[in-house]
Amino acid sequence: MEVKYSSRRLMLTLMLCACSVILLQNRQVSPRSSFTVNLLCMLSGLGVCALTLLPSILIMRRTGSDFLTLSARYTPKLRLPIAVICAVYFEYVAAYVLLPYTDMFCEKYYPGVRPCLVGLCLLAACIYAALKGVRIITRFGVFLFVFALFTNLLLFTGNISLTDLSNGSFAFSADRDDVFGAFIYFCTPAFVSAIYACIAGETHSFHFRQPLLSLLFTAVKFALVMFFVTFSLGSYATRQDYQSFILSRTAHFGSFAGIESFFIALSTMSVFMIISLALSCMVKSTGKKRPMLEIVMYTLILFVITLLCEFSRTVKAFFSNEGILLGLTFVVAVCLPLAYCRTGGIRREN
Amino acid sequence: MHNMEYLTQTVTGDLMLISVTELKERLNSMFSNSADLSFKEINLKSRRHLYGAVITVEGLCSKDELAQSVLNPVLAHDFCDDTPKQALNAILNSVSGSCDMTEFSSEKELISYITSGFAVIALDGCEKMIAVGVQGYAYRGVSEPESEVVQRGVREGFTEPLRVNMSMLRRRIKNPDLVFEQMTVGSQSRTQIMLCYLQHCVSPLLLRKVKERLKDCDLPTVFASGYLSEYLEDEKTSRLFSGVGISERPDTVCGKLTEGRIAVLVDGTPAAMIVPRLFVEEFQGIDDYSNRTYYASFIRLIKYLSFFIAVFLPALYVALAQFHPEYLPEPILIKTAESLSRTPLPVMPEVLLITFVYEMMKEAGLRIPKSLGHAVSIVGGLVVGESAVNAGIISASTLMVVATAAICSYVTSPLYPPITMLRVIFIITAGVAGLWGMVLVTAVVLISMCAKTSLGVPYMASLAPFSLRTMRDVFIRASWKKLGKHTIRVQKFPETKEA
Repeated sequence: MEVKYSSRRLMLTLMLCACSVILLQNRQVSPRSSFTVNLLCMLSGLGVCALTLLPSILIMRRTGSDFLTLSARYTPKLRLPIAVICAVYFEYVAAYVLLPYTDMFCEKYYPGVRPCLVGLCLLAACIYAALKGVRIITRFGVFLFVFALFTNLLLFTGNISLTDLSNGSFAFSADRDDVFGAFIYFCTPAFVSAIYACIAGETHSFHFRQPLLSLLFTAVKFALVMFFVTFSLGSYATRQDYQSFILSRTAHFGSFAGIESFFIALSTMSVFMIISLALSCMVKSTGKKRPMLEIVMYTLILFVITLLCEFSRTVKAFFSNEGILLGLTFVVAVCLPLAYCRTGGIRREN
Repeated sequence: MHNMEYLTQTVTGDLMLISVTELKERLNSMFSNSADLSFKEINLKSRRHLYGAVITVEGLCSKDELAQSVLNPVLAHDFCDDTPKQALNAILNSVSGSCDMTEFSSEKELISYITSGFAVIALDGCEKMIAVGVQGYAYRGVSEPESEVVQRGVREGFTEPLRVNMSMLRRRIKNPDLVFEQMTVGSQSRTQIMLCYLQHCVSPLLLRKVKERLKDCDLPTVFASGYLSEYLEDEKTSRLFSGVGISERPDTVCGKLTEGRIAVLVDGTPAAMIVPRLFVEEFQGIDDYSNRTYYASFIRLIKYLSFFIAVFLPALYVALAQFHPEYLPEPILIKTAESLSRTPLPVMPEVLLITFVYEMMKEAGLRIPKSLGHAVSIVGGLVVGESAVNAGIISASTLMVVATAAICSYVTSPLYPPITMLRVIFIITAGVAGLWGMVLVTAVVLISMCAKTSLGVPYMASLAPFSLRTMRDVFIRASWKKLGKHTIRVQKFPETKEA
């Protein structure tokens, strides 16, 4: 009986369940739109995410590889521009994920600590993980997945006693601006498609149900968070930042509280994993076999961005812009893989 | 009369084509007239006045066996007109009663045989010699291994002589598939080691890797298996956890061999090294397979829980007491705060101090004679424990936390070294950065563990990379009906396949 590793199939699931936590950190569920409308926005947003996965799935099914590998093989002259695009994009993704995390951490959990210090410690750990490579990070993802399940279980069951359906509404009422904002916001997990487009070649045991399961998992989680924010926290939540953090803070089992520590732990590990994967993608695009220097350089740039964001609101607003993220994601997750879809023939490698 | 005329010409290499007298001088020179080298000259009953010698190292041979198998039959036999070569053949084929005899001709082999307890018969004028197995040195008998005690199952553990250990394995696997492959390591100690594997279970790739790594060992002396374990570890992977398993039990080793692993026995070491080693194996005990399934599974889960407590509990205590006291339930919070307020040291140095004192006491307990062990226990328990708490030097809650972690660390005793190091690292991290720091260090440690390999097989295999098929013997132990049906062998892992 051969031993088969299913963890590679789980990779996307893990990434999505990890990033969903981060995305919810700075998500404000608006009270002007009902729960049903928010739910529909979320489903449409995730639908877009599913569409952005299609080009890399197509490449994977045809060649068993990813567009970065194909570009290195068939268009070596384009390596530099592609590496530059990837570097810019993944620096943006890493900053987009890191900034709300450090803000939440320093505002809610350890007040008084400087965000750049938190960022520095986290980035130092990410350098180590990125040096180990994508496969090792995805193995780490297995533990993160189990921890995410456990934390979510605590988070949601701990809030059941606070649930009051009169706090919100299931009716179909919506505010046009809110709906558009929510839709754009729920499209942001598409950056996972870009990561997937770069490293899909590492997963030799690909199956189509992989991204579908991932999206389903994320949808269920988003829905549960919105449900509890709407019906457990109610109007209290609308006046607060970082609603999912507050959800974890209000969760309790009798006298047992402190579930926000689990939430922070999950967020920390999720950010750690996503930034490490982003660094790995950047390095893969350069094609260097000994990537120590590149990884340190990219991390330093990221740290400088964190520092700048601490002092400049404009810079911070730039790196927290969903529109820019989606635009760049469209280029890396859709345009570039589509350009390589017909390259490499229809033979399946590996 | 010593027949010096039978001297033959010397040939190239290290072949021994010299007279017995010269051989004696040469050996005495090589051994610097060592007192334990015995060179008994013998005159054989023969018309040609054959002359020879029996060479041994005192203390390594059984005198009775030497007399019965070598001296008595050889001296009593009439060699008539035999030439030295014919006489040697006669000794080899009919005269001596020993079944362990080998013919050889090199100096290297001569040294190896006599230092291994063989008696070597050399005849003047004959280029070859005979080694007769008459080993009879004193060694510790087979006894129950102290570090792997079982409730049910065999009470037999490895002992120092290599051949005895080999026989213990052969007795359990009566199958020609079981192969023992001998190698020699240590340029000075010339230590014999034995590779053991099941021919049809082992991965050829892994076997080649093991042989190559052992050949690469350039140590002058190898006195224990620990010398070689580092050579069997994969390069550029974390050394915190060991990728080489150690067992003193022949039944455990046999079990591992049937799973396709390779065991390395080292002469003079009462334990076998087993490769590849996976993290989940550290939680599997031989008792698990004797007990009922539900109980074995329960014990497995207890072991995993103990591992987490041993590593994280003191650090968690530091983080909660120093950074997040609000997470503690009120009664515990009040008592802990009250207890800590009476001690002079902050919580992190206090926990570190007790941890170090405990490690010192443990080391002292291991090294001192058993008769003094009770005294150390009393001093440790009463003076360091109760008196220090009463004097207000350390708090009772801290002592309890460290003691609980210490007890838990013995549940998975093979992991004791990494547990101890990780505990100290986490205590310091918790004291500096609280729970968040612990999470970050945990992530780094997990990455390091996931990156570790043992002969190329991921150390964390079964968990990460996750494999559902192997889960039946990880957190729970499935019934023998299921385990016995499909043994999951190491060669079934993708990393053990030739590229």
